[in-house]
Amino acid sequence: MNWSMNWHVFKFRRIGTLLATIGAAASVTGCGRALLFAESDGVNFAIRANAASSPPLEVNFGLNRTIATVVPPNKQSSDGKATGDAVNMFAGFQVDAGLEGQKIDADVKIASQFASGRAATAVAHDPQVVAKITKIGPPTVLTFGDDGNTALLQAYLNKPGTTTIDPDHRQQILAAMKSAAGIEGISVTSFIFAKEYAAGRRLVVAALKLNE
Amino acid sequence: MAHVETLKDVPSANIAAIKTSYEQEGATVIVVDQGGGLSTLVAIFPDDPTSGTAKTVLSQGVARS
Repeated sequence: MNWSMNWHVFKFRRIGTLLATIGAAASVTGCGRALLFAESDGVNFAIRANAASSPPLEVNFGLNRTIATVVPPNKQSSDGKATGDAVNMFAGFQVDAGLEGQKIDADVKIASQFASGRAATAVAHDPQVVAKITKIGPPTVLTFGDDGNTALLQAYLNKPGTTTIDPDHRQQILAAMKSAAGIEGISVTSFIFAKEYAAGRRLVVAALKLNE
Repeated sequence: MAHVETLKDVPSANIAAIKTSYEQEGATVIVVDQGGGLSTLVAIFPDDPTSGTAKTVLSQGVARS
């Protein structure tokens, strides 16, 4: 596989278009202290097969990504001039390319995350938390599939007669997931509702004695 | 590190309960209609869902809002 990724190439024309769009949006909204964020993504995927050439099959993947923001100050002087720091904003972007054994069906996962305003302010004092927000792990893709154990675990997870999670019961389920089924790093919600965890649910229901 | 869980083929009758459950575990949830009465739920956790960090981040945000 010939792998090509060119995601550091910025096209000024596209940035200009994005900034123009943001400017137009700002004028429409009256701007104020609104933080505006625009993103443009282009993905190209090309496969060329020729039995006479070497290698006989070439696959090219290209990603072009442009992000533009208008970040207003958090203070203004009496005559409208900007003072003070900018509104807080954190963004993360990550591409994971699985190229195991040069497989044609290698997975490419693109993830991005954006936090602003009070949420960003709340964690701004802690660089470790910010680092965790701006780094994204590979997504876990599951398929819905419920069964009798789903109902038992859902009833146990929530406080009686409500849809509010009981934090103690959640911790007990997480502990049982790890000790009885060897499952961790996944939410209780996904564990309860994904068909991939049907076998694990049986073990956890037995460990917590929910079917007695 | 942020953590993303995607749950596909969720029947419309189950969306509200699952979305609420994810949110209470600290996730921001996006619902994408697949058509045919099914949806995909994308749950974005600020941290590993088994840790307490997600809840901590949320509580900080609420406390300062």
